[in-house]
Amino acid sequence: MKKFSLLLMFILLCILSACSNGNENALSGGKGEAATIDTTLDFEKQFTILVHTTAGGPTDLMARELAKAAEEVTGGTFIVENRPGGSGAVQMAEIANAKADGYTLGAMTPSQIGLIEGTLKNQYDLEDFSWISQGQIDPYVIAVHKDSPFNTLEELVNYAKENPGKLTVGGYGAIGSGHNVAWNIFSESAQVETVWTAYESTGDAVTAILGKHIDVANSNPGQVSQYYESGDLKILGVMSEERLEDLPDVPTYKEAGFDVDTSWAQFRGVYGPSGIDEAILQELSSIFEKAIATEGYQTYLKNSQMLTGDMDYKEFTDYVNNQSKIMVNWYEKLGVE
Amino acid sequence: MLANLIEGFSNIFTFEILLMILAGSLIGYFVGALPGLTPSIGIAILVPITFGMDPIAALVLLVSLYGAAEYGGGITAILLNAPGTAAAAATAWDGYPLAQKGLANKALTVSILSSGIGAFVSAILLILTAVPMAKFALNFGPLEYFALAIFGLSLISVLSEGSLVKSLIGMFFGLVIICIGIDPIVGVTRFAESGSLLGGIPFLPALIGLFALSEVFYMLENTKNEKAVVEKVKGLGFTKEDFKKIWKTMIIKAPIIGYVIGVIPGAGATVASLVAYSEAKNSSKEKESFGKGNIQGVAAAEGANNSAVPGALAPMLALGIPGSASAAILIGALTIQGLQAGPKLFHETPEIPYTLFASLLISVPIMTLIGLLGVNLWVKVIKIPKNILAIIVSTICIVGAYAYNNSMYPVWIMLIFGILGYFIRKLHVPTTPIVLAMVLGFMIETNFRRAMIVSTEGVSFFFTRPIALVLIILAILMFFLPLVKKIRQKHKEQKDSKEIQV
Amino acid sequence: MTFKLGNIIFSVAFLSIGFYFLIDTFQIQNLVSGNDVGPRAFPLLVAIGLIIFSGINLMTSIFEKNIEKLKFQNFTKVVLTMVGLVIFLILISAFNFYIASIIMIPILLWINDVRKVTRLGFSTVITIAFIFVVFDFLLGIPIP
Repeated sequence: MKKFSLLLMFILLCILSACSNGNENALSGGKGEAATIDTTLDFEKQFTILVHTTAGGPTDLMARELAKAAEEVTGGTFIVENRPGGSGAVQMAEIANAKADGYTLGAMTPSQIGLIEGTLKNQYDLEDFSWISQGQIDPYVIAVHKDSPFNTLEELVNYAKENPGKLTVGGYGAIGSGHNVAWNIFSESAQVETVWTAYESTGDAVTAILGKHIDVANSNPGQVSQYYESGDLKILGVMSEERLEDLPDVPTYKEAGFDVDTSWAQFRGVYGPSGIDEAILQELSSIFEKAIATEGYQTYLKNSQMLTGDMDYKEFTDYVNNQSKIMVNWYEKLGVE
Repeated sequence: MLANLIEGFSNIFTFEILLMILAGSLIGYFVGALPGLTPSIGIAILVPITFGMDPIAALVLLVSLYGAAEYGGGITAILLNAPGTAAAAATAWDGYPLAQKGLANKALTVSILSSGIGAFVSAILLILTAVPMAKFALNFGPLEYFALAIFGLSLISVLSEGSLVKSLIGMFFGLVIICIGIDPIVGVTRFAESGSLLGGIPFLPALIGLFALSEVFYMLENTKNEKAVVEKVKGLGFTKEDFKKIWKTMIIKAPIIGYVIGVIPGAGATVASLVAYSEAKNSSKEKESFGKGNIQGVAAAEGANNSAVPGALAPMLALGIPGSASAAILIGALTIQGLQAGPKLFHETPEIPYTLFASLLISVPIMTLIGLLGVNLWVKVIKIPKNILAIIVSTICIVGAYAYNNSMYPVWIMLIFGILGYFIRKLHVPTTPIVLAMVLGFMIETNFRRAMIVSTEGVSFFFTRPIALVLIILAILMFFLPLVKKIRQKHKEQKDSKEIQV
Repeated sequence: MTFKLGNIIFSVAFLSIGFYFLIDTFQIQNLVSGNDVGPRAFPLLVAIGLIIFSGINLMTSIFEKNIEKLKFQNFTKVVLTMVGLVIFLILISAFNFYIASIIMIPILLWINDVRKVTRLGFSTVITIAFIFVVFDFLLGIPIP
């Protein structure tokens, strides 16, 4: 009996080490063709990207794809670690306290800005961090069930105008969340009054629209495209400057007659602690820019229906500041503390 | 379908896949057995190492881990009253008393057999009904979830021993503390201004405190520090009579209850085990023996929580909707592999879901076999002197609670609930209602409010939704019937005693 | 302590928790939109429920005639262990898990009658080794 259990443990150990070896091999695949960049960063050292969600979520995926691409570009090692907890507060604390040498970075979404402007207002400012690179933009879309009477945004708005406070709109998060603000930007421009229904995730809201429990879902393309293809859902509009490659028939809000500010978007990027040297910031920013341009990363973006982010750290910092302004503005309008 | 399934089987019998099944099951056992480490944490840990793997191997590894972890939770629940997962809480109610009577082998054998059989039957149900069941699950809107949660809460009157008033105090206490944090619908803060409390009181650490840590203090009361008795048994301590007693629960009831509840996204293994346990108790002729070591209770709880695993896979595979937290991470793992769970999966790559089905049919027996081999090993754990064991368990609880979200906050929550649990159990206040309220409270509030928001016509919507109506009526029956029975019994006893006196 | 007294203390404690939350509910900013009942309704309802049933329990226990003793065996040891665990957690926050456990596990064991040095040392080493192997090494879970 004892021998058997020892044997099992041994097998387990072997498998685990085999798995992790395989993983390292996969990750170091691009090492051979290391590009030579004039550098103050030492690529012998390991880079760590901390992610504030559990493994497998969209932000985690972005970080892992970006790390893979960055390894290809630099020949260095980029490790992704998950630090879930406190809606991102755990990861933020670790980033804020990390050495500002550019080797410890974090993945980010508007959640971090939300924390800085919201619950952690007294703890952090936007200046406490360096905003390095925008990895991707995940635009918002408006979807309805296939049995819904609405075929265009205009029909939807006309109905909502005739029946104020009747149309139920579901999406991720309470009032003041990214999806809620996106819907408010649209409904303000269309001058309609609707009812917001908060769900725990975008997936839950999509489930609810598939079951016809809500009239409209505010979602992201990746979450609804397969139901769009299978004909279960109709997508009425996309909150973006241009139409999406994978949804060529879906008009932008502007094309549908609603001229809204599309700078509000679900984006994901990379940030770090404040005090990173200007030259290193520039270097990191260009590394990620090159990483984003790699074929592998572009394929991943295409598969998950996201737009590429193309900002260097200066543009990205302005962008983050602008997002924060819009957010604070809406917090005040909606009465969220 | 059959051709697909046969192809699925042919994909499995490679060295690599069988190794994945074995590895997944073994890791799952440990993850499940350690308090604080849930199946979803286990899957999340393994997802990064599945990157370099072939999609089928990755999926098989993760799903085997998921199933074994749901079982593993029962091991520590039986031996130490320390449920390793939330869904194993119901296993502890009868499993731990059995272990204290010296029947740990029997309890463990019953739990692994009913887990295995449950998961197997449920896997067959999954293969046959994945798509229609997933479509049925879509009927669950906010109102249905609200009704389901109310039904779950109504089980308090069946589940709790002793004073109903004390159970209700526990229930309302649980409901009050889950309000702490950020309101889920409009986002205002409740009872907390800043810090960790904003995230609410985490359920799992509270459960570890109420069950495992409070039991640690009870272990220390023992002055002689003796070891637990384990009766010498031949084989595994499971007899034909035992099988006759529980076969219905084990093969029919628990798997069906577990599968159906598992399919409904968000309800999950915990609710499934509670419902199956209540059903077993309610329909049993020996109600009094439940909670004191009835193997039927163990069979119902363990059978149902394992059957919920294939259930949760149905909406995930057929519609791309996660049936549980673990399934949500599995969807992420599929995405990494460049696959998308949902209608596309069956059309474009049918070999993936069918290989997964086939792997369930193979991995469940393997998991059961490993579990049976482990029974006599696990029992050795309680042969450690109680005072030493108590300290080891509390240390593991600390590390486990920390793993909940990598911070000290849940560890403090666990300690507070452990101390609270010790004192209220002294006063015969059952801890079950607190647990039940914390599991279901959030579901009740958010879904009721969502239902109100969505319905533009008012409360009358209840009568236009049959599923919700039936669940509410069931809830009312479930709550009052046991009370009526209890009162009648008291009357009868009083009458009897009077007659005897006369 | 009698069972009756314990029951009264329990009821009063939970009654005060109920009142504490009830008063705090009125601090909640009650944002109501559409048909929503608002963030205040549910906590208000359950706080009242807690108060009512704690109140009933208080009444019945005051008039309880049975004066059964409430047994606390080894109470000093149990309380010392509770205090020990609190110190354990504080030490973990201050240093890290391994340092804290090297200090606290032997103390906790000593409180609970493990007095032989060999046994004490052995148990401590085994516990820490188990946690290291299973959590840190095999599963790669972060340790405090």
